[in-house]
Amino acid sequence: MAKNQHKKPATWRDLKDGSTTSKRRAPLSWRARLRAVWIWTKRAAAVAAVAGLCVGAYYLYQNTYIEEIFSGKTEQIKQIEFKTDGYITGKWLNEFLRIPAKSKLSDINIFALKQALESMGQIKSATIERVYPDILRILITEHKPFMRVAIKIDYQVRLYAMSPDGVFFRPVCIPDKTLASMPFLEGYMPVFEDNEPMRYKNAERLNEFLNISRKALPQEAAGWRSINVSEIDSLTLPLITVTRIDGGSIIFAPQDYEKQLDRLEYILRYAKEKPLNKIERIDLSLKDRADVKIADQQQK
Amino acid sequence: MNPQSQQSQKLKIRIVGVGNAGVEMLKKICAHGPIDATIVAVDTDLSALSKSGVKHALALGGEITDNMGCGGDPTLAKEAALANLASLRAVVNNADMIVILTALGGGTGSVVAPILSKLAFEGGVKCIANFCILPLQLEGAERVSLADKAFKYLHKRSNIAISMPNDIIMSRTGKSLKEAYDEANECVANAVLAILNMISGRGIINTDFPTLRKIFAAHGANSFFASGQGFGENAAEEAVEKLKKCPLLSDNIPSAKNLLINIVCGENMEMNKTRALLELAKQCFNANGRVGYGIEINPDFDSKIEITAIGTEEAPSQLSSEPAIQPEAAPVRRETEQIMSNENSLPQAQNISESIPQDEIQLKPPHKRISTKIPEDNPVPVKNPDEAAVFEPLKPPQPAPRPVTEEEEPQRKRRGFFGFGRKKSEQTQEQPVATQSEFKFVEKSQQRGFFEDTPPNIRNGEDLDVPTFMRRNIKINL
Amino acid sequence: MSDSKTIAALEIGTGKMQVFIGEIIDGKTLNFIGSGQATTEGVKKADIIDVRRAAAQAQAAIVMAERSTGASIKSVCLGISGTHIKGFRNIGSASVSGADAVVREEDVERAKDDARSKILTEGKSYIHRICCGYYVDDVFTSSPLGKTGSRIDAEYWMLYGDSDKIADAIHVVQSFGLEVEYLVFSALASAIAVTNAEQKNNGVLVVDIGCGTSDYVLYKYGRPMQAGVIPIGGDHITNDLSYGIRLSRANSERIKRHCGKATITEDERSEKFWSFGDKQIGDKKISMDAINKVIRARLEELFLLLRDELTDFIGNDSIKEVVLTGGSSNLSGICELASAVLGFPCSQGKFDSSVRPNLRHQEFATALGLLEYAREQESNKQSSASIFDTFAKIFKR
Repeated sequence: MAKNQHKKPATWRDLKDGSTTSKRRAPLSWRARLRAVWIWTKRAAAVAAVAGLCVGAYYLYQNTYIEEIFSGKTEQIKQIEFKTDGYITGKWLNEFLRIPAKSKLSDINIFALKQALESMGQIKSATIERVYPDILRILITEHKPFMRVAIKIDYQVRLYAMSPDGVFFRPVCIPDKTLASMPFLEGYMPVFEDNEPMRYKNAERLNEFLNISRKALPQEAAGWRSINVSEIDSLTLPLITVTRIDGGSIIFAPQDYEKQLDRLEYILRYAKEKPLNKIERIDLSLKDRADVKIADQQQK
Repeated sequence: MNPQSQQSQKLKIRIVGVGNAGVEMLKKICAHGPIDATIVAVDTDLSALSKSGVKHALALGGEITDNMGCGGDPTLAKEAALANLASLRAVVNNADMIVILTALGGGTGSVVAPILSKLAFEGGVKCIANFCILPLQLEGAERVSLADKAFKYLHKRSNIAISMPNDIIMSRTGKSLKEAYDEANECVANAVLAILNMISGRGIINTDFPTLRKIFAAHGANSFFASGQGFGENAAEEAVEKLKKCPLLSDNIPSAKNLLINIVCGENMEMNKTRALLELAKQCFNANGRVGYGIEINPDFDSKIEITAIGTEEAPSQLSSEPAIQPEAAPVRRETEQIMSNENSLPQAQNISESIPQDEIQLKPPHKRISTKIPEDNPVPVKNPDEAAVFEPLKPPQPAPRPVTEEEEPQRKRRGFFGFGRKKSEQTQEQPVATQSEFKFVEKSQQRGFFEDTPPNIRNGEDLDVPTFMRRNIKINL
Repeated sequence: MSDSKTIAALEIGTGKMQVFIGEIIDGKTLNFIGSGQATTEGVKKADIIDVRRAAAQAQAAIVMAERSTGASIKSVCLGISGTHIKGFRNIGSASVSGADAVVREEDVERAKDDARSKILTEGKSYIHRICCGYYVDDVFTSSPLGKTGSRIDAEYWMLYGDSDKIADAIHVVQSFGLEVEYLVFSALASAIAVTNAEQKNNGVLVVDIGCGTSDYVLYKYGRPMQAGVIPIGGDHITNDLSYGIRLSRANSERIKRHCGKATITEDERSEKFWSFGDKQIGDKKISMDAINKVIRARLEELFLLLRDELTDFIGNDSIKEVVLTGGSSNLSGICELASAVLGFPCSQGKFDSSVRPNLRHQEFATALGLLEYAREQESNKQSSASIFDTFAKIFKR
């Protein structure tokens, strides 16, 4: 019972794994050599096959120049990529375009689609691209509305929206809450030419006015129901009249909004601190003072 | 009834100019006077088309491009082409030969020219020729790569594809830009006209359309084009010199495989001079394949000689494929009922036509010789069965597991592949030498027989390899 | 998809190289799918003396087997024998650690480790270390767990051989690109093939009389108790005959197979017959008596040597029967001779019913046993190959 157990006894497995790989695998016969050659050939072939696949894919990629046009290779549209910077939803787009489900990419008349889309007033521009082999890409930019207008056409009153660049359009896919937050435009009737309303040149000024107002007095501006612009272009006395939800009106001069808004803020604060009757009209357009008309009373 | 003109009348050649530059080239061709080909202009720019004065004009794109050209945008051109695919097809259908002139790199040219080539190929047009102008390197990597891609595509699908890089035009200093471009367009126009003339049948010696087809039979061969003019006394040499220096050759004279030479000369030209000239031109290009040529007499050319050469380049890989092409030469010659009417040139023609069939004849005897060898080989294998028969009787005594040995022996012999020599010597030397040295002491009776070459098998003081009956002294009576 | 493993059993024998290919499915079922055979060269007395020639022949056999199945072999179960193989008994001990003096697994393991870790002299390697049984306070038992005692001994039979020769055998396989998965002493393999569990339990001595050597293993209580090699085999008988009857080796072999008898009756003694076909020596008459004497002398010596090796077990009723296998066991009358010398009932090995009829030959016992051994080892393995292993195997190929 020898007990020197410092190293493990040698077994045949040690012999198997012990000597170097090359030594223990050195071919002993022509058969062994042949087999070794065959194994290496198989490995080389596998590597070559993988490399060949990569090269082939690259070659194909290089050579699909205009082959796709010959519609042997365009597929059914798998997906329509759609991006917009406005409100239009994919669902609406689908219904509007009505592209048949099984149509091939090459069958799409891009130009016709583009025209159809751009006929919608809300869509400023539409870009339609084919992404071969099976994707149609639609990129849309929209006019973003900031005011509402009720326009009477052919004995019908329709709701239009107006964008800061003065474009009137039928709102599409805009959530009702968003629309409801926009003030109405009063005092201006858009002129129609070829069934399309012409742009309103003062829209930008109004947009500026509203932005400044919202920044200065957000709560107040949120309560403005409509803006009357009938006198905005008057040469003698230009005015913007804002009608609030509670019926009162505020008159602005169409420039220097900050000063007027400061006065307004002061007046409104004063009115809150000292509860008064309903304010009927606030005139901020005067140079040195502001006129506030309270129901049943007039105060300077 | 001149069979020549009849043929050329039957031949429907369409010259299509695609894109801006293509239409310009067309204008140049028209300026040379009426020719036997239909001219079609294809462009996305409607105004340019209407100004070109070409009768058959196809405007692509319509509303897509607003009739204003695609501004170098290939995607727009693709759309335009797609929209008018049918009309493009109509342009190339029913034509025998199509020549497409275009400038690559931009929108219309790069896209529509390959489309036309492919449509022509599908429509069964027999010969498709493409003359393309490639953009300058400084026009931007995008244009250059687009032009490259388009040219590669064209190259694969046309019989003749000749490129003329703009860089070469620009390198010819001393001219204004407009003049340089004009000259380039003129060059191409000349090339087209030259080809047309060659097969039009108006010359004294003509190649015809089938010859042209055979010379440019393969798609995807590198083609080249050159032309040169010479005047006066040494008109011939001068012309060849100019030929070598032609800008379309892009600075290196290719060695040609198949060649087509056209000479336009005045009435005073002597025939042997012509022959010398042709020889010169042929040498100039080292043509060793098919050479076709045509001679035309233009009364306006007094002492002026104009040579045009068009051919396919010799590519290294094409060397091996030559023998395959040669057998076709025979039927070609038969088709050429054409007109070697000039007697002087007949021997030449015959030389050329005969040389090829002669090659064919030369090829055959070696084949026959090889085939005669095979019967001689037969007696040899017959011997082996006899030898095998000698060995057979010895087999039965051997026990059953042994049969494998017979197969092994011949296999062992053919191990020449991997250092066979070494092994054999090892085998013969190993047994007696190596194990003998292991004997520590010598047994009295070394009767170990079969086990002589193995170490002794000592157990209990006895060598077990020695037969037991010997060690026990047992008597065996036979 | 059942997990199947293809394994080849290779026996490098003195007379022949035998390859059987089997498919082990789910570690339980063994399917025999192909075989290959080649004559041996370069092997004498079961020792490989010329590695190259032996390798060439072994590889020829493997290739033949591969061709017969179409499967490609990657792992081999190798059977080994040789005059260099010897064994000794080693007993390792450990004290029972538990306070309750109940033998636990750790105690058993410690005893086993102690027994297994005997260092060999330089140039020797272990082939098998077989656990024969345990002694709890010197009382023999097969299952020590749960018994009470103060000391536990593990008895091992250590089978070892020359490292060089073993390495040569492994080299033959590995140079062909195959992996030696198991290395088995050929007698162990033969015993697996020709005996059943009952015999192993009762006590059986299996003797594989091959061309070069006779390998033996003694089974008792289901475990191998002792195994070893007697360096006398069929070739020795042939050699003796060629000396005794003065015939060429090939003819002696032929006669041995054809009419060799270990025991003969009185009448047969006077029989004579012709040896013919040997064109060199010429036809002559040989008497059966002579042949028998030579063969009997050799075989008696063999069995006497065997008896000497098994002194520990002969007297104490451990062995109930003797089973002969191997090519040379086909010699008629050998079983009687063995019974007479050893004193136990002797018979030829019987194969399991699952073995095909065309494989029921004593020469195939070792190779069949190797396949069965491989199957048992596979079913004991609990690991499933990890993906990395499979991946590595792909690249190894």
